[in-house]
Amino acid sequence: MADAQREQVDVVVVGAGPSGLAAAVEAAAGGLRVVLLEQSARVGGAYWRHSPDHLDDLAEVRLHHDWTTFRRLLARLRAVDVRTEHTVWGLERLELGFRVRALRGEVERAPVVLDATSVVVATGTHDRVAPFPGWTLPGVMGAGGGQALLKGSLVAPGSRVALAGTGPLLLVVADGLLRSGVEVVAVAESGHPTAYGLHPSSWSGLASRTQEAAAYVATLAQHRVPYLAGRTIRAAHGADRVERVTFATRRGRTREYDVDALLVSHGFTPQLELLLQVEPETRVDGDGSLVVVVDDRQRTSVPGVLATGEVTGVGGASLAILEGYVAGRALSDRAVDPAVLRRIDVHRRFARTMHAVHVTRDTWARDLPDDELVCRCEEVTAGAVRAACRELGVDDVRGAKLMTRAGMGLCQGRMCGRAVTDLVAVTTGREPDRADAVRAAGRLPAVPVPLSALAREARTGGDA
Amino acid sequence: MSATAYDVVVVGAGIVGASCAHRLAEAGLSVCVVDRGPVVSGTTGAGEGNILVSDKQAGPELDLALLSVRLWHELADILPRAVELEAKGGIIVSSSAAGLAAVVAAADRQRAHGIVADVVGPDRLAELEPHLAHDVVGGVSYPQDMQVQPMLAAAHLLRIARGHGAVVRPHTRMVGVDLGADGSIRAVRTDGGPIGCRWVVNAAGTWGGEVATLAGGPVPVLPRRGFILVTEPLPATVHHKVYGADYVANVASDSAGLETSPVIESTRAGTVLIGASRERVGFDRTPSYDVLGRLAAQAIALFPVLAGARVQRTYRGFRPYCPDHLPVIGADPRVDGLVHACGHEGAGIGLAPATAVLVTETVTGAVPSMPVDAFSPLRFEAAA
Amino acid sequence: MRKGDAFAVRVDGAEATAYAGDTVAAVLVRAGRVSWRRTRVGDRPRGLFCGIGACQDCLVTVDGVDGVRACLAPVAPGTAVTTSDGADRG
Ligand SMILES: Cc1cc2nc3c(=O)[nH]c(=O)nc-3n(C[C@H](O)[C@H](O)[C@H](O)COP(=O)(O)OP(=O)(O)OC[C@H]3O[C@@H](n4cnc5c(N)ncnc54)[C@H](O)[C@@H]3O)c2cc1C
Ligand SMILES: Cc1cc2nc3c(=O)[nH]c(=O)nc-3n(C[C@H](O)[C@H](O)[C@H](O)COP(=O)(O)OP(=O)(O)OC[C@H]3O[C@@H](n4cnc5c(N)ncnc54)[C@H](O)[C@@H]3O)c2cc1C
Ligand code: FES
Repeated sequence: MADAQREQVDVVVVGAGPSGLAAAVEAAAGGLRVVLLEQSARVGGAYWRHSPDHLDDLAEVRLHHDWTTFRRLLARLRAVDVRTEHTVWGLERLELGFRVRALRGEVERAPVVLDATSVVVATGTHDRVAPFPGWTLPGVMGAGGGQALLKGSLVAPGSRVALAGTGPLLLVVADGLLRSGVEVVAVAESGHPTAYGLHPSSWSGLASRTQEAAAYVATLAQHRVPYLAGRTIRAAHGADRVERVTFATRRGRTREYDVDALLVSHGFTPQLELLLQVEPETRVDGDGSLVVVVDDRQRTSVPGVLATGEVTGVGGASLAILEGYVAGRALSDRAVDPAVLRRIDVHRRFARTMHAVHVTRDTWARDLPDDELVCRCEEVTAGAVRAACRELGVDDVRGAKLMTRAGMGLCQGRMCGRAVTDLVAVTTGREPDRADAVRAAGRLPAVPVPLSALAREARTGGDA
Repeated sequence: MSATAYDVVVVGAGIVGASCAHRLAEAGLSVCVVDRGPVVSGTTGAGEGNILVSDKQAGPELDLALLSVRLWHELADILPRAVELEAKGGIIVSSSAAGLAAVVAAADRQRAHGIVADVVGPDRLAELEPHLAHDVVGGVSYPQDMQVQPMLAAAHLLRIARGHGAVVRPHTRMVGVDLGADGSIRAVRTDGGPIGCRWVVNAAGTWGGEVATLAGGPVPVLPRRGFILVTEPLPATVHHKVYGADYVANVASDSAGLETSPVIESTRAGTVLIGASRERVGFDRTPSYDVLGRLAAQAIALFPVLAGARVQRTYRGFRPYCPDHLPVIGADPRVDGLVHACGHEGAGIGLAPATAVLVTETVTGAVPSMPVDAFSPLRFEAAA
Repeated sequence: MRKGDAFAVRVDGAEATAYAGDTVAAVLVRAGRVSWRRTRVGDRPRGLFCGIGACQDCLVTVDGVDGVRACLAPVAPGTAVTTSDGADRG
């Protein structure tokens, strides 16, 4: 029965962020039949999240960068078969090509199956949040997640907001909130951005990026928002929601702020689950993230599977767009502009510096009190993971999962995988290896799938 | 190295190795457990945790299972509640009159050998499992069937063994043995150096064949792949272990081809575990959507309310099986000091405690609790 | 700060205002909700966390279907959203 609906196309692109859009458009321009699958209701990804019918709304344009690039991509997207509200849960290698399985509709969950000669995985990232006391209180959100709410629906995550963590995204989000009239009480950046000065060659050729950063800092100054370098989030306080946050210097000096929302980003976690289903070569990037290895045409080690954007290494939207372009050209056997390849190198060099400047130390794993959760879904405490290490001999993330249930919940270990890995490492002194990272990031299905949808995969004898 | 560092080195820190280490250490022997990976990183981490008598027919495996069930009840006194050891009972159900007749006939034979097996009609079945499909015509209930969280059980047994002085060395791979002038084992060679010992217990599960060869006493242990589905946490839906009538036939089957038959149960966390498939495809880790699909379809056929429930995890493991589906347990006459405890196929969790007792009796020279000839490592040579 | 066409949806039985392109989460947050669910073990309140479909913290019931990610599911005129907190209250 599933056969009747199975379609054959040249390329399936998963994820309609900057890189997926660029890849799809470029591959279609080369004459290929391309289907673009995106789980949210609109294309644009994390970068160009927008509300519909308002593409020219000034309020929105102010929140966005590269808006003209987006408009241009949207115009060319007509050549692509775009399917939003399609969440891909399975990527399977066939004798020839690949089978892509998705659910259509967050509510409907209708099974969709597509066969493709090639697949581009452009599934991006989610915020990484290293646990701290109070991190599970409502009102504490990923910084990118808060940004997504603001950009996507023009709803602010709070009215008095603090930001904490590390990385340029904190500035981007603070800027967006301020422009939308939200009060930002302070931004705690655990790194020391002045360290960029130590790597001048890494931002040569990226004048726009430095100008952008300078503009954000200026906006903050104009609104008298303290940008506190070297400060970390010590705790979020509140009964049933965040009401107050404590920031601390490395020497332990603290300061509290009254807030109704706290946005946190300790960098990003690339979403590799689909890629890992076909077992490509991977590596651990400068920020500690597991990423997929690609060549200069964005090809992974699995022939026919390409990867673009943040899944190949966290490096920002401009890099993601360029990688998408290269993948689309490569798929349609067209020449790649060498200048683009040089730009990609420049961006990757910058990304390495960015990773070096914005480090999240694993001190959190020593400091987190025993009764604080590390796994949100199964509500597993840091103490439980530590006890499993000390009493049951656990020294890897898989063991911690099997013994404590950390990572066995509905998010399938996305939120706690990295944290549990670090916590086990700090507790046992055993350095995790890449195999540990692959184990923590691999999942089948990539999202929870109704049994009824899975049952359709039975070839015969399914109805015993 | 001249002095014997340990009485016994156990190779493998799965449920079988952990059980052996526990019994041996408790008996006063000095024990070192090595595993090439972290603790419980083998098939034990992929098992479902059924401790079954219901799927066994009269014979040595049933005797081993009955002994094990008794021992699991004793272990309940020393294992913490967290290991979820529970005599929740199993029910074999059938949707056809012919299937039911076969199950009832099997139950009659089993009863003669100490298995409690109660035939249940549709009304009683509906009380025991209200969400069962309406076309289920009846079944047989097995109150002795138990369940345990196998990874925690193994880890806690290792912890208790350590309390008795045992040493556990993860990330240490056995690569061979050293024999003395008299041909008896002197040491286990590992990638972390030799470990002196008098006895080596091969508890390497699916890799037991490899370890046996390294130790000089080959036995044929091969992988039989199985997939499991795990749903999201649900309100109480399945109360016992529920098996389809063809489950028992498949467990005993010799076929290399794919077999799937439903085994469904809830865990304490509210998830529903759905097994089980059996196929011989070597160590192929590639997911089979066909198999996952069959498991899902069979679960829905037994429990239609599960249709909308979502699967959040699937996993696979490789059962260690021997050609005659019996484990290899006991001393290897070919190598003085080598004792096997592997090849338990789909029942290693259930059978681990009895295996450990037999291994300990072998090492201490005590009278075995039950006949062990059927588990002899030499039986394959005789057949060849 | 929002213009465009407003329409009505139902949240826990009461009427709420939504705009074209809103997700369920946007409607809930605009209505002042910070959390709308309690955890299974510790009865802890939860609302939005990742905001993009990865964490499963924001689950609601939409038109009778459980376990829907509020941050991804779009609303349409008449969509009926039920939160587990709301059900407890009602
Ligand atoms: C929440 C968030 C907000 C961010 N906001 C900004 C910002 O405002 N400005 C900025 O410069 N940078 C921002 N970033 C950084 C941003 O990730 C990059 O700049 C850029 O968007 C990366 O592009 P990409 O194509 O690699 O991935 P993304 O833009 O992340 O796109 C990936 C897309 O894949 C989709 N997807 C993922 N999994 C599946 C699946 N299984 N099935 C179907 N679709 C799937 C996602 O819904 C998403 O649309 C943000 C990051 C995050 C995580
Ligand atoms: C899907 C599935 C469902 C199952 N369900 C059940 C069930 O419900 N009930 C039941 O009783 N059984 C079940 N089983 C079977 C059960 O899991 C196994 O029989 C049991 O786990 C075997 O335990 P073990 O300790 O012998 O092997 P393992 O747990 O595999 O342990 C062997 C260990 O040896 C180590 N090792 C291997 N080679 C070396 C070496 N050279 N040096 C050092 N260490 C080495 C490995 O790393 C491994 O940790 C199931 C199996 C599968 C696959
Ligand atoms: S907030 Fe994380 S899935 Fe919706």
